[in-house]
Amino acid sequence: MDVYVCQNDFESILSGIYDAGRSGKRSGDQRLEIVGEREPELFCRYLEVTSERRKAESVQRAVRERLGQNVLELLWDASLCGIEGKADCMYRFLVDGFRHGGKIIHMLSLPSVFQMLEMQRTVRNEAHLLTGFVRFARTEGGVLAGIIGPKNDVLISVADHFEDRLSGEDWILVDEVRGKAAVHRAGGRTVMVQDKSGEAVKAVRRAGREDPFEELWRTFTETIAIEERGNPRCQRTHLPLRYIKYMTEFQRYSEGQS
Amino acid sequence: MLIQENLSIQKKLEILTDAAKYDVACTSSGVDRKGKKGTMGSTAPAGICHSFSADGRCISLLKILFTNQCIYDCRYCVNRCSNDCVRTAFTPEEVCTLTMEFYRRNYIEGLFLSSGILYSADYTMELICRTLMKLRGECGFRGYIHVKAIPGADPLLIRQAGFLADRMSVNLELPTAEGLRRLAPGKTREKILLPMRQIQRGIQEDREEIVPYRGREAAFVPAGQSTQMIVGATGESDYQMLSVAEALYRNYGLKRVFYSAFVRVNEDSLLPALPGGPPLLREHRLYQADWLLRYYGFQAGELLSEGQPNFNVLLDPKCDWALRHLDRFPVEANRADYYTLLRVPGVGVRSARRIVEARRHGTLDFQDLKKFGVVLKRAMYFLTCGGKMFAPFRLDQDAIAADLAGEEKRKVWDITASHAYRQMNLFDDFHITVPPTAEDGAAAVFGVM
Repeated sequence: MDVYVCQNDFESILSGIYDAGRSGKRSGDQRLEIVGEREPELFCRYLEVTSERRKAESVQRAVRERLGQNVLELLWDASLCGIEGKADCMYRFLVDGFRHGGKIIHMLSLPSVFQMLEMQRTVRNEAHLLTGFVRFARTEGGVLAGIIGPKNDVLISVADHFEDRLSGEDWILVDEVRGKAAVHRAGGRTVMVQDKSGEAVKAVRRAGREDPFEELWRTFTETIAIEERGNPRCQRTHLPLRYIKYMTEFQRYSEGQS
Repeated sequence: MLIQENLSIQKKLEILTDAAKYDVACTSSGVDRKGKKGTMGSTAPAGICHSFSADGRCISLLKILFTNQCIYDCRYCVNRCSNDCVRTAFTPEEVCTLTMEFYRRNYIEGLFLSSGILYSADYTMELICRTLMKLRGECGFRGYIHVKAIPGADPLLIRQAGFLADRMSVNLELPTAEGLRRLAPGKTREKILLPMRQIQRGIQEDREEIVPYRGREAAFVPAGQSTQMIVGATGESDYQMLSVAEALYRNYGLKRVFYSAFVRVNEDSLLPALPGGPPLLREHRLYQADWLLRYYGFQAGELLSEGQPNFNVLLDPKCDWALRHLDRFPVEANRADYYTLLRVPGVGVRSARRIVEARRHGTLDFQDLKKFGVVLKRAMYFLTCGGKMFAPFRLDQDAIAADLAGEEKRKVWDITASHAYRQMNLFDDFHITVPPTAEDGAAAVFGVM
């Protein structure tokens, strides 16, 4: 078994698919892996994929011409997914895809296709949820600052949403897990920046303390619940705990506990 | 009544939120409006939930009353004029500040403004209009606005509000005119239906305009109108409520009818006691049935009837319907059309679409269906794949019903409703355990019983 080890980004995964496709071996004898995803196995040959734009573009072109634009979008969405084995899944999907042609996207009973669509759904669902669950705090300088920690790499599509909605505001949205941030200037375009050191996260945390509207918001969320209908399980179903720690209205409780 | 105006904004927000919370609608769906330079806000067609409160309900909009002062004395309402509580009112400026600042921090998707009646319907509606005008104009707010049309207000004011808001609603509160007379002495059914009709006409005219030169910017109530009914405050059956809802969808073009389990907030001899808390299960069943009406092509008369006016406690309305119509099942997953599939318990809109899409490219088996999101626990009794059932079931109503109702509830089922689905049978239903004696036989033959 040949294992192509790629980095966790779109270009690198496509380069891996390119290498696997050009090797001339049967698809059953090779697979893709994201680096660090699985323990090394004994009877495998590990090949490091060098990420090259040329390879990625070649795959993209072939996909666009033979399978269509929406398949390419599907690949992009799947590459953002945070689950294990996504690179291999994308490879299997393309193997099936080039065999069946453009109708592949409707062949839900093929495992590879269904898994891809599930990954796309996971990514889009989380992006949608976060458009609601993101909380900005107003810093002294008037900048709105928010932190997220999503399972999937959805910062770009969440930032897109806010670029449209809060176009006239200065804001920064930090993905704590992946160490990157989207920065937006009033009236301008959103820029993605790296934040490996976690400086931005600290700055945002410091800023969010003194905003008078946070207290008003907590008052509102506490009052709006009808006591007689209390149903914490239902609340948790809709609002998983991993989002709660970033949300203003629950922050007082977490401070009280610690 | 003394209106306290010098309260802090914190206190006002608390009072006026507390008074608004019994209104259930908090959806922000139905309009697709992109952001625009120089303004703030956009709306998403699917709506966005921003948080969930401790009772599990979605918080999407800043749901507040403009004032909790009211001239009416509706018995079920926490703001009725005979209640002794602190009365206060926002100013339009305060509502705008709260909305804008909350929106900026992404707490909310927009504003839901309702109100008690201050002095008169016109006066209140005018205040609401002024607030909305300020919010849309001066503040440049493009987010979602849901506003109440006050029954009895001048049609011009309602029209004005309709061009500023995305959704409007008039609450029916009680499904029958009789109930309304009993519990809401100031209101009549005609008075409530009048603005509803006006909004419906407005929406229709807006759609029929040949050249939409006003653009989408000034559409009239683009997200449609909704209403709310209280469940369990008066003696209406589920069948009556569902028929009213169906009539509202059909005749008034409503987008949504909301059901609100009655919470006893006032001590009043005309209100039911409800020792078990609000009738939440009943509310749940009504919502399930409401979905069946709107997305699954069912009609109220199919689900309930005069003879069976209330929903089954143990089974959801769709299972209940399917059990009553076992002659139409099982259906073949690989051939049945979309609407037939939708009627199978355990199959929803998403899974039905997936089935229809996938079977064009291959035959499906039960494992595929499971992957597509079909709940086999319910669907297995009603579907075949390639002519085979999931397991060799007997198509027997009682057995299936008991299985569907669940092991843990089986006992309850046996006690209360074990014969609900079988036709009456002269020999089985009397549970004669002792075999007839020779004398009985002779008596029967000679006709001297």
